[in-house]
Amino acid sequence: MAALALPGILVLAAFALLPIARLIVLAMEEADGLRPSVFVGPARMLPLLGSAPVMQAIEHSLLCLLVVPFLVAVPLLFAFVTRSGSRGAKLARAFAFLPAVTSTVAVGAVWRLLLDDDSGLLNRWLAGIPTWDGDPIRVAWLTGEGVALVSVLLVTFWRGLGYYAAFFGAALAQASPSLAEAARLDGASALTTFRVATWPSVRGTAALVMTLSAAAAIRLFDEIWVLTSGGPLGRTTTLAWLSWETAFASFPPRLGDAACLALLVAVLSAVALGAARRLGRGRA
Amino acid sequence: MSRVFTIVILAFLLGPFLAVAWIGFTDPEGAFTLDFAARALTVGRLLPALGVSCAVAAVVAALQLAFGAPLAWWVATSTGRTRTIARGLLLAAALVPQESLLVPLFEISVKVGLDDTLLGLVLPQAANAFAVLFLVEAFAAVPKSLVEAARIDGCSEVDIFRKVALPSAAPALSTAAVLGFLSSYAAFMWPLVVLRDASIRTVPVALADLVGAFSADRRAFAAAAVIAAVPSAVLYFLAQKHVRVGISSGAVKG
Repeated sequence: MAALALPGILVLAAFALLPIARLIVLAMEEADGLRPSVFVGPARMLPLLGSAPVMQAIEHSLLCLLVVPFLVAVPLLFAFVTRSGSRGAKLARAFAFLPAVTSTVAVGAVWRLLLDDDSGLLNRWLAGIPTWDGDPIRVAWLTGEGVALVSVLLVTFWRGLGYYAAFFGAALAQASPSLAEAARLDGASALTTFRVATWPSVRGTAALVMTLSAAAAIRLFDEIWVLTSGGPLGRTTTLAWLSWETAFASFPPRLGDAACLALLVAVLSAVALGAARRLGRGRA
Repeated sequence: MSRVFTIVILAFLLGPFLAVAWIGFTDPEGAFTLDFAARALTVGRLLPALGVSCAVAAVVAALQLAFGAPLAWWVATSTGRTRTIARGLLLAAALVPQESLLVPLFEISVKVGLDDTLLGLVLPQAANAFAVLFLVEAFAAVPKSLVEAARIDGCSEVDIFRKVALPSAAPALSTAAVLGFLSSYAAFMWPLVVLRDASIRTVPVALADLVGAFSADRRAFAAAAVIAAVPSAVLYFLAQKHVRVGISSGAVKG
Protein backbone atom coordinates (compact mmCIF):
# COMPACT_ATOMS: atom_id res chain seq x y z
CA MET A 1 0.00 0.00 0.00
CA ALA A 2 2.91 2.31 0.74
CA ALA A 3 3.79 2.23 -2.97
CA LEU A 4 0.29 3.36 -3.95
CA ALA A 5 0.46 6.16 -1.38
CA LEU A 6 3.73 7.41 -2.82
CA PRO A 7 2.35 9.74 -5.55
CA GLY A 8 0.17 11.46 -2.95
CA ILE A 9 3.12 11.81 -0.59
CA LEU A 10 5.23 13.30 -3.38
CA VAL A 11 2.71 15.96 -4.53
CA LEU A 12 1.99 16.98 -0.95
CA ALA A 13 5.70 17.18 -0.19
CA ALA A 14 6.39 19.24 -3.32
CA PHE A 15 3.38 21.56 -3.28
CA ALA A 16 2.42 21.82 0.39
CA LEU A 17 5.29 20.95 2.74
CA LEU A 18 8.22 22.27 0.70
CA PRO A 19 6.51 25.67 0.17
CA ILE A 20 5.89 25.93 3.93
CA ALA A 21 9.56 25.30 4.66
CA ARG A 22 10.60 27.70 1.91
CA LEU A 23 8.20 30.37 3.20
CA ILE A 24 9.81 30.25 6.63
CA VAL A 25 13.31 30.59 5.16
CA LEU A 26 12.26 33.27 2.67
CA ALA A 27 10.76 35.35 5.48
CA MET A 28 14.28 35.66 6.88
CA GLU A 29 15.84 36.61 3.54
CA GLU A 30 16.42 39.82 1.64
CA ALA A 31 15.03 38.83 -1.78
CA ASP A 32 13.71 40.69 -4.81
CA GLY A 33 13.59 37.83 -7.30
CA LEU A 34 16.19 39.54 -9.48
CA ARG A 35 19.43 39.38 -7.55
CA PRO A 36 20.45 36.32 -5.51
CA SER A 37 18.74 36.48 -2.15
CA VAL A 38 20.71 37.10 1.04
CA PHE A 39 19.94 35.31 4.27
CA VAL A 40 19.58 37.80 7.13
CA GLY A 41 17.85 35.87 9.90
CA PRO A 42 14.72 36.31 12.00
CA ALA A 43 15.91 39.77 13.10
CA ARG A 44 14.79 41.24 9.77
CA MET A 45 11.16 40.60 10.60
CA LEU A 46 10.92 43.00 13.55
CA PRO A 47 11.50 46.36 11.81
CA LEU A 48 9.14 45.25 9.01
CA LEU A 49 6.36 44.30 11.42
CA GLY A 50 6.78 47.61 13.21
CA SER A 51 6.62 49.72 10.03
CA ALA A 52 3.65 52.01 9.50
CA PRO A 53 2.03 50.25 6.47
CA VAL A 54 2.25 46.87 8.20
CA MET A 55 0.87 48.20 11.48
CA GLN A 56 -2.02 49.71 9.52
CA ALA A 57 -2.65 46.40 7.70
CA ILE A 58 -2.60 44.53 11.02
CA GLU A 59 -5.13 47.02 12.36
CA HIS A 60 -7.39 46.45 9.34
CA SER A 61 -7.09 42.67 9.62
CA LEU A 62 -8.08 42.91 13.28
CA LEU A 63 -11.01 45.16 12.33
CA CYS A 64 -12.12 42.39 9.94
CA LEU A 65 -12.70 40.25 13.02
CA LEU A 66 -15.66 42.50 13.83
CA VAL A 67 -17.68 40.39 11.38
CA VAL A 68 -17.23 37.31 13.58
CA PRO A 69 -20.00 37.97 16.18
CA PHE A 70 -22.46 38.64 13.34
CA LEU A 71 -21.42 35.40 11.64
CA VAL A 72 -22.20 33.52 14.85
CA ALA A 73 -25.43 35.22 15.90
CA VAL A 74 -27.35 35.59 12.64
CA PRO A 75 -26.59 32.11 11.20
CA LEU A 76 -27.52 30.59 14.56
CA LEU A 77 -30.82 32.45 14.58
CA PHE A 78 -31.50 31.51 10.97
CA ALA A 79 -30.68 27.85 11.60
CA PHE A 80 -32.92 27.93 14.67
CA VAL A 81 -35.99 29.32 12.88
CA THR A 82 -35.50 27.00 9.87
CA ARG A 83 -34.73 23.87 11.92
CA SER A 84 -38.02 22.09 11.17
CA GLY A 85 -38.31 19.36 8.57
CA SER A 86 -41.00 21.19 6.61
CA ARG A 87 -40.56 21.75 2.88
CA GLY A 88 -40.37 25.51 3.28
CA ALA A 89 -37.63 25.27 5.89
CA LYS A 90 -35.65 22.82 3.74
CA LEU A 91 -35.90 25.13 0.74
CA ALA A 92 -34.87 28.14 2.82
CA ARG A 93 -31.78 26.27 4.09
CA ALA A 94 -30.89 25.14 0.57
CA PHE A 95 -31.14 28.60 -0.98
CA ALA A 96 -29.42 30.33 1.94
CA PHE A 97 -26.34 28.25 1.13
CA LEU A 98 -26.12 29.49 -2.46
CA PRO A 99 -23.79 32.48 -1.78
CA ALA A 100 -21.39 30.10 0.00
CA VAL A 101 -20.85 27.91 -3.09
CA THR A 102 -20.48 30.94 -5.34
CA SER A 103 -16.85 31.86 -5.95
CA THR A 104 -15.58 34.82 -3.95
CA VAL A 105 -14.81 36.73 -7.14
CA ALA A 106 -18.36 36.27 -8.48
CA VAL A 107 -19.68 37.32 -5.06
CA GLY A 108 -17.47 40.39 -5.22
CA ALA A 109 -18.71 41.14 -8.75
CA VAL A 110 -22.35 40.87 -7.68
CA TRP A 111 -21.78 43.31 -4.83
CA ARG A 112 -19.66 45.63 -6.94
CA LEU A 113 -22.73 46.08 -9.14
CA LEU A 114 -24.78 46.93 -6.05
CA LEU A 115 -22.30 49.06 -4.13
CA ASP A 116 -20.33 50.92 -6.80
CA ASP A 117 -20.38 54.60 -5.91
CA ASP A 118 -21.36 55.88 -9.35
CA SER A 119 -23.20 53.14 -11.19
CA GLY A 120 -24.15 50.83 -8.32
CA LEU A 121 -27.77 49.87 -7.88
CA LEU A 122 -27.99 51.00 -4.25
CA ASN A 123 -26.91 54.56 -4.97
CA ARG A 124 -29.25 54.68 -7.97
CA TRP A 125 -32.14 53.72 -5.73
CA LEU A 126 -31.06 56.11 -2.98
CA ALA A 127 -30.87 58.91 -5.54
CA GLY A 128 -34.54 58.29 -6.27
CA ILE A 129 -35.56 59.06 -2.68
CA PRO A 130 -36.75 62.66 -2.37
CA THR A 131 -34.88 64.65 0.27
CA TRP A 132 -35.89 67.90 1.92
CA ASP A 133 -32.94 69.87 0.54
CA GLY A 134 -33.21 68.31 -2.91
CA ASP A 135 -29.70 66.82 -2.84
CA PRO A 136 -29.77 63.14 -3.80
CA ILE A 137 -28.61 60.69 -1.14
CA ARG A 138 -25.27 59.18 -2.12
CA VAL A 139 -23.18 56.87 0.01
CA ALA A 140 -19.52 56.30 -0.89
CA TRP A 141 -19.84 52.55 -0.19
CA LEU A 142 -16.49 51.62 -1.72
CA THR A 143 -14.50 54.87 -1.67
CA GLY A 144 -15.56 56.30 1.69
CA GLU A 145 -12.63 56.04 4.07
CA GLY A 146 -14.77 54.87 6.94
CA VAL A 147 -17.34 52.92 4.94
CA ALA A 148 -15.23 50.83 2.53
CA LEU A 149 -14.10 48.22 5.04
CA VAL A 150 -17.62 47.92 6.42
CA SER A 151 -18.89 47.29 2.87
CA VAL A 152 -16.28 44.57 2.35
CA LEU A 153 -17.27 42.96 5.64
CA LEU A 154 -20.95 43.15 4.67
CA VAL A 155 -20.06 41.06 1.63
CA THR A 156 -18.18 38.46 3.69
CA PHE A 157 -21.16 38.37 6.04
CA TRP A 158 -23.47 37.76 3.07
CA ARG A 159 -21.32 34.88 1.84
CA GLY A 160 -20.86 33.34 5.30
CA LEU A 161 -24.44 33.54 6.60
CA GLY A 162 -25.88 30.41 5.00
CA TYR A 163 -22.54 28.63 5.22
CA TYR A 164 -22.27 28.85 8.99
CA ALA A 165 -26.01 28.32 9.36
CA ALA A 166 -25.36 24.82 7.93
CA PHE A 167 -23.01 24.11 10.86
CA PHE A 168 -25.68 25.18 13.34
CA GLY A 169 -28.32 23.28 11.40
CA ALA A 170 -26.30 20.07 11.74
CA ALA A 171 -25.91 20.63 15.50
CA LEU A 172 -29.61 21.43 15.98
CA ALA A 173 -30.63 18.33 14.03
CA GLN A 174 -28.79 16.23 16.59
CA ALA A 175 -30.20 18.05 19.60
CA SER A 176 -33.03 16.26 21.36
CA PRO A 177 -36.31 18.06 20.70
CA SER A 178 -37.95 16.77 23.92
CA LEU A 179 -36.26 19.34 26.17
CA ALA A 180 -37.47 22.26 24.05
CA GLU A 181 -40.92 20.67 23.92
CA ALA A 182 -41.01 20.32 27.70
CA ALA A 183 -39.91 23.92 28.20
CA ARG A 184 -42.60 25.08 25.81
CA LEU A 185 -45.29 23.06 27.58
CA ASP A 186 -44.15 24.57 30.89
CA GLY A 187 -44.99 27.94 29.41
CA ALA A 188 -41.38 29.15 29.14
CA SER A 189 -40.80 32.14 26.87
CA ALA A 190 -39.10 31.64 23.51
CA LEU A 191 -35.96 33.22 24.94
CA THR A 192 -35.90 30.90 27.96
CA THR A 193 -36.58 27.90 25.75
CA PHE A 194 -33.65 28.87 23.56
CA ARG A 195 -31.35 29.46 26.54
CA VAL A 196 -32.22 26.26 28.39
CA ALA A 197 -32.94 23.80 25.61
CA THR A 198 -31.10 24.98 22.50
CA TRP A 199 -28.00 26.91 23.50
CA PRO A 200 -26.29 23.97 25.30
CA SER A 201 -26.51 21.88 22.13
CA VAL A 202 -24.98 24.54 19.86
CA ARG A 203 -22.43 26.09 22.23
CA GLY A 204 -19.60 23.98 20.82
CA THR A 205 -20.64 24.80 17.28
CA ALA A 206 -20.74 28.51 18.12
CA ALA A 207 -17.12 28.33 19.25
CA LEU A 208 -16.23 26.40 16.09
CA VAL A 209 -17.94 28.94 13.84
CA MET A 210 -16.22 31.74 15.73
CA THR A 211 -12.76 30.33 15.05
CA LEU A 212 -13.51 29.35 11.43
CA SER A 213 -14.91 32.76 10.54
CA ALA A 214 -12.00 34.45 12.32
CA ALA A 215 -9.53 32.42 10.25
CA ALA A 216 -11.42 33.34 7.07
CA ALA A 217 -11.46 37.03 8.04
CA ILE A 218 -7.69 37.03 8.54
CA ARG A 219 -7.19 35.58 5.03
CA LEU A 220 -9.66 37.98 3.35
CA PHE A 221 -8.39 38.86 -0.13
CA ASP A 222 -10.57 38.03 -3.19
CA GLU A 223 -13.48 40.31 -2.28
CA ILE A 224 -11.07 43.18 -1.66
CA TRP A 225 -9.62 42.67 -5.15
CA VAL A 226 -12.99 43.10 -6.83
CA LEU A 227 -14.47 45.73 -4.52
CA THR A 228 -11.78 48.16 -3.40
CA SER A 229 -8.27 47.00 -4.43
CA GLY A 230 -7.07 47.83 -0.93
CA GLY A 231 -8.27 51.44 -1.13
CA PRO A 232 -9.34 54.11 -0.44
CA LEU A 233 -5.98 55.34 0.92
CA GLY A 234 -5.17 51.83 2.09
CA ARG A 235 -8.25 51.64 4.28
CA THR A 236 -9.07 48.10 3.09
CA THR A 237 -5.44 46.97 2.88
CA THR A 238 -5.37 43.88 5.09
CA LEU A 239 -2.34 41.73 5.87
CA ALA A 240 -3.20 39.29 3.10
CA TRP A 241 -3.65 42.12 0.60
CA LEU A 242 -0.41 43.85 1.63
CA SER A 243 1.50 40.58 1.33
CA TRP A 244 0.21 40.03 -2.19
CA GLU A 245 0.88 43.63 -3.18
CA THR A 246 4.44 43.50 -1.83
CA ALA A 247 5.22 40.39 -3.87
CA PHE A 248 3.28 40.78 -7.08
CA ALA A 249 2.33 44.43 -7.54
CA SER A 250 5.46 46.33 -6.59
CA PHE A 251 8.74 46.69 -8.42
CA PRO A 252 11.19 45.37 -7.54
CA PRO A 253 9.14 42.74 -5.72
CA ARG A 254 10.07 42.54 -2.04
CA LEU A 255 9.71 38.77 -1.76
CA GLY A 256 11.26 38.47 1.69
CA ASP A 257 8.89 41.07 3.11
CA ALA A 258 5.92 39.44 1.37
CA ALA A 259 6.90 36.04 2.78
CA CYS A 260 7.18 37.53 6.25
CA LEU A 261 3.65 38.96 6.02
CA ALA A 262 2.31 35.73 4.50
CA LEU A 263 3.89 33.84 7.38
CA LEU A 264 2.08 36.11 9.84
CA VAL A 265 -1.25 35.44 8.05
CA ALA A 266 -0.49 31.72 8.04
CA VAL A 267 0.34 31.63 11.76
CA LEU A 268 -2.75 33.61 12.77
CA SER A 269 -5.05 31.56 10.57
CA ALA A 270 -3.40 28.26 11.60
CA VAL A 271 -3.89 29.10 15.28
CA ALA A 272 -7.59 29.76 14.64
CA LEU A 273 -8.01 26.67 12.42
CA GLY A 274 -6.13 24.50 14.91
CA ALA A 275 -8.49 25.65 17.64
CA ALA A 276 -11.42 25.01 15.28
CA ARG A 277 -10.25 21.44 14.70
CA ARG A 278 -10.13 20.77 18.43
CA LEU A 279 -13.58 22.27 18.87
CA GLY A 280 -14.88 20.27 15.89
CA ARG A 281 -13.64 17.10 17.58
CA GLY A 282 -15.38 17.89 20.81
CA ARG A 283 -18.64 18.71 19.10
CA ALA A 284 -21.54 16.25 19.01
CA MET B 1 -42.19 36.27 13.64
CA SER B 2 -39.76 33.57 12.61
CA ARG B 3 -41.36 33.39 9.18
CA VAL B 4 -40.77 37.12 8.70
CA PHE B 5 -37.16 36.72 9.80
CA THR B 6 -36.63 33.84 7.36
CA ILE B 7 -38.09 35.85 4.50
CA VAL B 8 -35.97 38.91 5.33
CA ILE B 9 -32.79 36.82 5.43
CA LEU B 10 -33.65 35.04 2.16
CA ALA B 11 -34.40 38.37 0.50
CA PHE B 12 -31.03 39.66 1.70
CA LEU B 13 -29.24 36.53 0.41
CA LEU B 14 -31.03 36.07 -2.92
CA GLY B 15 -31.97 39.67 -3.74
CA PRO B 16 -28.46 40.61 -4.93
CA PHE B 17 -28.43 37.64 -7.37
CA LEU B 18 -31.82 38.61 -8.76
CA ALA B 19 -30.93 42.30 -9.04
CA VAL B 20 -27.72 41.51 -10.89
CA ALA B 21 -29.49 39.00 -13.15
CA TRP B 22 -31.99 41.77 -13.93
CA ILE B 23 -29.16 44.15 -14.91
CA GLY B 24 -27.42 41.55 -17.04
CA PHE B 25 -30.36 39.97 -18.81
CA THR B 26 -32.69 42.89 -19.56
CA ASP B 27 -32.24 45.88 -21.87
CA PRO B 28 -32.85 49.47 -20.65
CA GLU B 29 -36.54 49.05 -21.54
CA GLY B 30 -36.80 46.07 -19.23
CA ALA B 31 -37.19 43.39 -21.92
CA PHE B 32 -35.33 40.08 -21.62
CA THR B 33 -32.19 39.92 -23.75
CA LEU B 34 -29.17 37.68 -24.18
CA ASP B 35 -27.10 40.38 -25.92
CA PHE B 36 -25.07 41.26 -22.84
CA ALA B 37 -24.49 37.62 -21.94
CA ALA B 38 -23.28 36.99 -25.49
CA ARG B 39 -20.94 39.98 -25.24
CA ALA B 40 -19.53 38.75 -21.92
CA LEU B 41 -18.97 35.27 -23.36
CA THR B 42 -17.30 36.42 -26.58
CA VAL B 43 -15.79 39.90 -26.18
CA GLY B 44 -15.22 39.38 -22.46
CA ARG B 45 -13.81 35.92 -23.31
CA LEU B 46 -15.78 34.24 -20.55
CA LEU B 47 -16.62 31.24 -22.74
CA PRO B 48 -13.05 29.91 -23.05
CA ALA B 49 -12.56 30.64 -19.34
CA LEU B 50 -15.64 28.54 -18.52
CA GLY B 51 -14.17 25.66 -20.53
CA VAL B 52 -10.80 25.95 -18.78
CA SER B 53 -12.34 26.31 -15.31
CA CYS B 54 -14.72 23.35 -15.60
CA ALA B 55 -12.06 21.08 -17.09
CA VAL B 56 -9.45 22.12 -14.53
CA ALA B 57 -11.88 21.71 -11.62
CA ALA B 58 -12.87 18.22 -12.82
CA VAL B 59 -9.23 17.18 -13.18
CA VAL B 60 -8.36 18.66 -9.78
CA ALA B 61 -11.25 16.76 -8.15
CA ALA B 62 -10.17 13.50 -9.83
CA LEU B 63 -6.51 14.01 -8.90
CA GLN B 64 -7.35 14.87 -5.28
CA LEU B 65 -8.97 11.42 -5.04
CA ALA B 66 -6.31 9.61 -7.07
CA PHE B 67 -3.52 11.05 -4.91
CA GLY B 68 -5.50 11.39 -1.71
CA ALA B 69 -7.44 8.12 -1.35
CA PRO B 70 -4.47 5.69 -1.34
CA LEU B 71 -2.51 8.05 0.89
CA ALA B 72 -5.45 8.41 3.27
CA TRP B 73 -5.98 4.63 3.46
CA TRP B 74 -2.28 4.13 4.11
CA VAL B 75 -2.34 6.70 6.92
CA ALA B 76 -5.60 5.34 8.34
CA THR B 77 -4.21 1.78 8.50
CA SER B 78 -0.67 2.62 9.57
CA THR B 79 0.32 2.34 13.21
CA GLY B 80 2.80 3.71 15.71
CA ARG B 81 5.27 6.38 14.77
CA THR B 82 4.50 6.37 11.01
CA ARG B 83 0.92 7.24 11.79
CA THR B 84 1.81 10.03 14.22
CA ILE B 85 4.29 11.64 11.84
CA ALA B 86 2.04 11.31 8.78
CA ARG B 87 -0.93 12.80 10.60
CA GLY B 88 1.19 15.62 12.00
CA LEU B 89 2.55 16.55 8.57
CA LEU B 90 -0.91 16.41 6.99
CA LEU B 91 -2.30 18.63 9.73
CA ALA B 92 0.54 21.13 9.30
CA ALA B 93 -0.07 21.22 5.56
CA ALA B 94 -3.83 21.60 6.07
CA LEU B 95 -3.56 24.43 8.57
CA VAL B 96 -1.41 26.69 6.40
CA PRO B 97 -3.67 28.39 3.85
CA GLN B 98 -2.48 28.09 0.26
CA GLU B 99 -2.87 31.86 -0.14
CA SER B 100 0.07 32.26 2.24
CA LEU B 101 2.24 30.05 0.07
CA LEU B 102 1.92 31.98 -3.18
CA VAL B 103 5.49 33.27 -3.25
CA PRO B 104 7.27 29.98 -2.53
CA LEU B 105 4.79 28.04 -4.71
CA PHE B 106 5.43 30.40 -7.57
CA GLU B 107 9.19 30.18 -7.02
CA ILE B 108 9.04 26.38 -7.12
CA SER B 109 6.81 26.40 -10.22
CA VAL B 110 9.22 28.67 -12.08
CA LYS B 111 12.16 26.49 -11.07
CA VAL B 112 10.59 23.32 -12.51
CA GLY B 113 9.08 25.13 -15.50
CA LEU B 114 5.45 24.78 -14.43
CA ASP B 115 4.57 28.48 -14.44
CA ASP B 116 2.08 29.50 -17.11
CA THR B 117 1.05 25.87 -17.72
CA LEU B 118 -2.16 23.99 -17.00
CA LEU B 119 -0.15 21.40 -15.05
CA GLY B 120 1.23 24.17 -12.87
CA LEU B 121 -2.30 25.37 -12.27
CA VAL B 122 -3.60 21.90 -11.41
CA LEU B 123 -0.89 20.19 -9.31
CA PRO B 124 -0.78 22.57 -6.30
CA GLN B 125 -4.58 22.40 -6.12
CA ALA B 126 -4.47 18.60 -6.33
CA ALA B 127 -2.18 18.52 -3.30
CA ASN B 128 -4.91 19.17 -0.75
CA ALA B 129 -4.06 17.97 2.75
CA PHE B 130 -7.52 18.90 4.03
CA ALA B 131 -9.14 16.49 1.58
CA VAL B 132 -6.69 13.76 2.64
CA LEU B 133 -7.48 14.28 6.33
CA PHE B 134 -11.20 14.14 5.56
CA LEU B 135 -10.67 10.80 3.78
CA VAL B 136 -8.47 9.49 6.61
CA GLU B 137 -11.40 9.99 8.95
CA ALA B 138 -13.80 8.31 6.51
CA PHE B 139 -11.44 5.31 6.14
CA ALA B 140 -10.96 5.10 9.90
CA ALA B 141 -14.69 4.34 10.10
CA VAL B 142 -14.39 1.27 7.84
CA PRO B 143 -15.13 -1.74 10.11
CA LYS B 144 -11.94 -3.59 11.07
CA SER B 145 -13.82 -6.90 10.89
CA LEU B 146 -14.51 -6.33 7.19
CA VAL B 147 -10.81 -5.77 6.52
CA GLU B 148 -9.85 -8.82 8.60
CA ALA B 149 -12.39 -11.01 6.80
CA ALA B 150 -10.99 -9.92 3.41
CA ARG B 151 -7.44 -10.63 4.62
CA ILE B 152 -8.41 -14.14 5.79
CA ASP B 153 -10.04 -14.70 2.39
CA GLY B 154 -6.60 -14.12 0.92
CA CYS B 155 -7.08 -10.61 -0.47
CA SER B 156 -3.90 -8.67 -1.08
CA GLU B 157 -3.49 -5.27 0.61
CA VAL B 158 -4.21 -3.52 -2.69
CA ASP B 159 -7.36 -5.63 -3.17
CA ILE B 160 -8.53 -4.76 0.34
CA PHE B 161 -8.14 -1.08 -0.54
CA ARG B 162 -9.97 -1.49 -3.86
CA LYS B 163 -12.72 -3.92 -2.87
CA VAL B 164 -13.32 -3.09 0.81
CA ALA B 165 -12.07 0.39 1.68
CA LEU B 166 -13.15 2.31 -1.42
CA PRO B 167 -16.74 0.96 -1.54
CA SER B 168 -17.25 1.49 2.21
CA ALA B 169 -16.07 5.08 1.97
CA ALA B 170 -17.95 5.82 -1.27
CA PRO B 171 -20.14 8.62 0.16
CA ALA B 172 -17.09 10.40 1.60
CA LEU B 173 -15.27 9.99 -1.71
CA SER B 174 -18.11 11.63 -3.65
CA THR B 175 -18.29 14.42 -1.06
CA ALA B 176 -14.55 15.02 -1.45
CA ALA B 177 -14.90 15.05 -5.26
CA VAL B 178 -17.74 17.58 -5.23
CA LEU B 179 -15.95 19.84 -2.76
CA GLY B 180 -12.70 19.51 -4.72
CA PHE B 181 -14.50 20.67 -7.85
CA LEU B 182 -16.17 23.60 -6.10
CA SER B 183 -13.02 24.85 -4.39
CA SER B 184 -10.98 24.61 -7.59
CA TYR B 185 -13.70 26.32 -9.62
CA ALA B 186 -13.71 29.21 -7.12
CA ALA B 187 -9.92 29.46 -6.70
CA PHE B 188 -8.59 32.90 -7.51
CA MET B 189 -5.16 33.73 -6.11
CA TRP B 190 -3.16 30.80 -7.43
CA PRO B 191 -4.57 31.01 -10.99
CA LEU B 192 -3.98 34.76 -10.87
CA VAL B 193 -0.33 34.28 -9.98
CA VAL B 194 0.64 31.20 -11.98
CA LEU B 195 -1.08 32.12 -15.27
CA ARG B 196 0.64 35.24 -16.50
CA ASP B 197 -0.09 34.69 -20.17
CA ALA B 198 -3.66 35.80 -20.82
CA SER B 199 -4.30 32.89 -23.21
CA ILE B 200 -5.33 30.53 -20.39
CA ARG B 201 -7.65 32.09 -17.85
CA THR B 202 -10.03 30.63 -15.30
CA VAL B 203 -13.48 32.13 -14.68
CA PRO B 204 -12.54 34.09 -11.52
CA VAL B 205 -9.48 35.55 -13.27
CA ALA B 206 -11.53 36.48 -16.35
CA LEU B 207 -14.21 38.03 -14.16
CA ALA B 208 -11.63 39.99 -12.17
CA ASP B 209 -10.19 41.25 -15.48
CA LEU B 210 -13.65 42.46 -16.48
CA VAL B 211 -13.85 44.67 -13.36
CA GLY B 212 -11.59 47.13 -15.17
CA ALA B 213 -14.09 47.50 -18.01
CA PHE B 214 -17.00 47.44 -15.61
CA SER B 215 -18.10 51.07 -15.73
CA ALA B 216 -18.00 51.02 -19.54
CA ASP B 217 -20.20 47.94 -19.88
CA ARG B 218 -22.13 47.40 -16.67
CA ARG B 219 -24.71 45.05 -18.17
CA ALA B 220 -22.17 42.68 -19.73
CA PHE B 221 -20.31 42.60 -16.40
CA ALA B 222 -23.56 41.73 -14.62
CA ALA B 223 -24.27 38.96 -17.11
CA ALA B 224 -20.71 37.66 -16.60
CA ALA B 225 -21.15 37.59 -12.81
CA VAL B 226 -24.35 35.55 -13.15
CA ILE B 227 -22.90 33.15 -15.72
CA ALA B 228 -19.82 32.62 -13.52
CA ALA B 229 -22.09 31.56 -10.65
CA VAL B 230 -24.10 29.04 -12.70
CA PRO B 231 -21.80 25.95 -12.83
CA SER B 232 -21.17 25.91 -9.08
CA ALA B 233 -24.86 26.56 -8.34
CA VAL B 234 -25.95 23.67 -10.61
CA LEU B 235 -23.45 21.27 -9.03
CA TYR B 236 -24.55 22.41 -5.57
CA PHE B 237 -28.23 21.75 -6.24
CA LEU B 238 -27.43 18.34 -7.76
CA ALA B 239 -25.25 17.32 -4.83
CA GLN B 240 -26.72 19.41 -2.01
CA LYS B 241 -26.41 16.78 0.71
CA HIS B 242 -22.75 16.12 -0.08
CA VAL B 243 -21.87 19.80 -0.05
CA ARG B 244 -23.58 20.83 3.16
CA VAL B 245 -22.83 17.68 5.14
CA GLY B 246 -19.25 17.62 3.87
CA ILE B 247 -18.60 21.21 4.72
CA SER B 248 -20.06 21.10 8.18
CA SER B 249 -18.15 17.92 8.98
CA GLY B 250 -14.89 19.68 8.32
CA ALA B 251 -13.94 18.70 4.78
CA VAL B 252 -12.84 22.23 4.00
CA LYS B 253 -11.38 25.08 5.93
CA GLY B 254 -13.08 28.34 6.86
